[in-house]
Amino acid sequence: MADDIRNNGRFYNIYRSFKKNLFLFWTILPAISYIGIFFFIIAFFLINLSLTQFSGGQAVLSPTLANYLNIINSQEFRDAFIRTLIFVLVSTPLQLITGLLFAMLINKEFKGRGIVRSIFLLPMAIPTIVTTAILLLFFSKGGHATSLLLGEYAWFPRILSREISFINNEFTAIGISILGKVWRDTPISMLILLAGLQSINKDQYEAARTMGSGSVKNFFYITLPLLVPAISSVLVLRSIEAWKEFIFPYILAPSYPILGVLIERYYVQLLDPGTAAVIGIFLIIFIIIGSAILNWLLEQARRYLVKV
Amino acid sequence: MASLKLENISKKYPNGFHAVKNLNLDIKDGEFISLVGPSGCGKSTTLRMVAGLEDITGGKLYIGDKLANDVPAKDRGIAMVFQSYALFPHMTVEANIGFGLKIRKVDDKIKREKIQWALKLLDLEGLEKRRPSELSGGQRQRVALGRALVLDPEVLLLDEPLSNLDAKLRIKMRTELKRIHKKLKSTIIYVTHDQAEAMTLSDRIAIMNKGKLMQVASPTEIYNCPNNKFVAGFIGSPPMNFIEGSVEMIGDDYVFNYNGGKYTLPKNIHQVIKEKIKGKDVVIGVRPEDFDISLQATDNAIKGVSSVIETLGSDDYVAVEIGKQLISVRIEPGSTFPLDQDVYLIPKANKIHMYDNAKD
Repeated sequence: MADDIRNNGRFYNIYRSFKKNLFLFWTILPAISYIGIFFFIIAFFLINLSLTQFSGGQAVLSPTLANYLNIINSQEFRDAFIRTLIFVLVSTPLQLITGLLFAMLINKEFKGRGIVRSIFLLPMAIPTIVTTAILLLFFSKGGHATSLLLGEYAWFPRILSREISFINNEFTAIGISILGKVWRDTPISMLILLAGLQSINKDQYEAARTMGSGSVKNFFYITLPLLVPAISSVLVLRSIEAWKEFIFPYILAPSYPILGVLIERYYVQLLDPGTAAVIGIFLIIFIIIGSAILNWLLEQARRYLVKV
Repeated sequence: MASLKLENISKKYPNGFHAVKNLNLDIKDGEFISLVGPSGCGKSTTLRMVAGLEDITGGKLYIGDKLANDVPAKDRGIAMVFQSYALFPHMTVEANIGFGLKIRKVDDKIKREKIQWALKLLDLEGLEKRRPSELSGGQRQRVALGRALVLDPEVLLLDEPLSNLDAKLRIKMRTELKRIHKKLKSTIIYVTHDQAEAMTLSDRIAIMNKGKLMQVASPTEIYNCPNNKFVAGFIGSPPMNFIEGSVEMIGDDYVFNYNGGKYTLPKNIHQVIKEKIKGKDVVIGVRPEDFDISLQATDNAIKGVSSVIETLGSDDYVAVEIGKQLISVRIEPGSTFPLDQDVYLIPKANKIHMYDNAKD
């Protein structure tokens, strides 16, 4: 057996490297098993569920592709997909931009930097349900936002003549959800980007300065390419989070569900776990495709930025 | 290429630390000048002020005949090589070298030609597509140098560029730098704490200590005629020997009293004593190679006891104890020298340096 393996150079190398790293393999085995078992159990039940048709909360037919066909032909699903896509495409870059601005600000040395950093981290410490409740109070019918724009507070001029229902308008409802999401999650992006910024050697900026590069060029030629790993982490992590988003649109845009909200609707309200599972599977596929496109785009951007 | 003039240049930080104090220095066109001194002496700060990376808080800096105090770094016609090399890790060798040209929007054809010229000059051909992380220390150093040279700087500033290299490579790169300077005839300011580098490379050396300029002169002059104890002790390896004592006049002669012994100083040093020595306590400095050492009792000599021998291969040194002071004397390499014996040291008459002990 060993001789056979030796005769085949490539396999022998794999065998040798496996043998050499056997100890490492044993050390990570518990983690792999833990993640693997859960992944496979969830995947198995999810697929199984998606192939089962329910009626009035009872499984009536399995296996069947009926749930898939229903969803593919469903206008509701398509609308939810488009809303989710918009949610991802708007909230992810926004979180990157706000995170980068805050990180660059904190990366500068100034008095009271510690306090500013703590303030920037605050949104993360507030429970999401509190954040959504505040936004709901602010933007719902008769809330502070409408009162403010209608000129009901003496210190603010009247801007609107009649009340806008932020929660009952698709554009504003999704907009407010994005606002809440970005506000709550910016500190995470900020911390990842700050770590990236702090790993850049300051001499590089000085060297660039002597060669005639100003702040803007420094940003595009040095900071940005060197931040690509951190930016990739932010974009990938935050976009996945955005695809999966539930709580903000659930509370603030109940009439305009995105995919996460639609899953809840089918599973809990319509007692149709089969269809909910299909939406879940589609969501996973979208996340994988989205992340792959993102990584490709980032690699192109990095190559462009470091060209001679 | 350009000349430089530093007129009463000072650097005082907001916290009150005075890093450079009234520095005056004229640097000729095409000259290779080294700023040398111990850590924290202000040499790098001076270089950074010339580069425009640090504000000048006092005095005037002229590059060519233009006052450059407030000229931004990019318009000073300088290029700098950093101790850390400061290469851009995400760029290839050619992108690193071409970065300054790209920023200055140099025509693509000229840019490529210049990159090729630098790659050839610095023996980096074949490494164009590599990233800095795939290069050795010496190669990185050359990329950093190439990145500066392609900009055709009026003045090239080098901040301890060899200090991250191992001893062997450092000597090789030293020769390379000398070759490049000979070829390009650029004005170079070279900061180092390594006196051997400064001695071998420079046309002139400026020695600094605690923010002040101690002496500016050619390497030979600095070595042979250091004008204070700091310079004398800083330049030379092994360093100059210092023997503490006092000087008194007996008849027509000056006599140096040390550790219970007396040594009549040669006539040629009388003028130095009259001009420079204010007090009674003095230090005489003699380099290890400027002693004649003898086992025979001699009339006018400094007496000590031979203690240990240090062999460097090309030279041997014997350590001689004079009371509590230990001095180093060069002897013929390979010769056997008796230890724990009384020895008599006669300094060469024109090689004795004398400094006030209190002043320096």
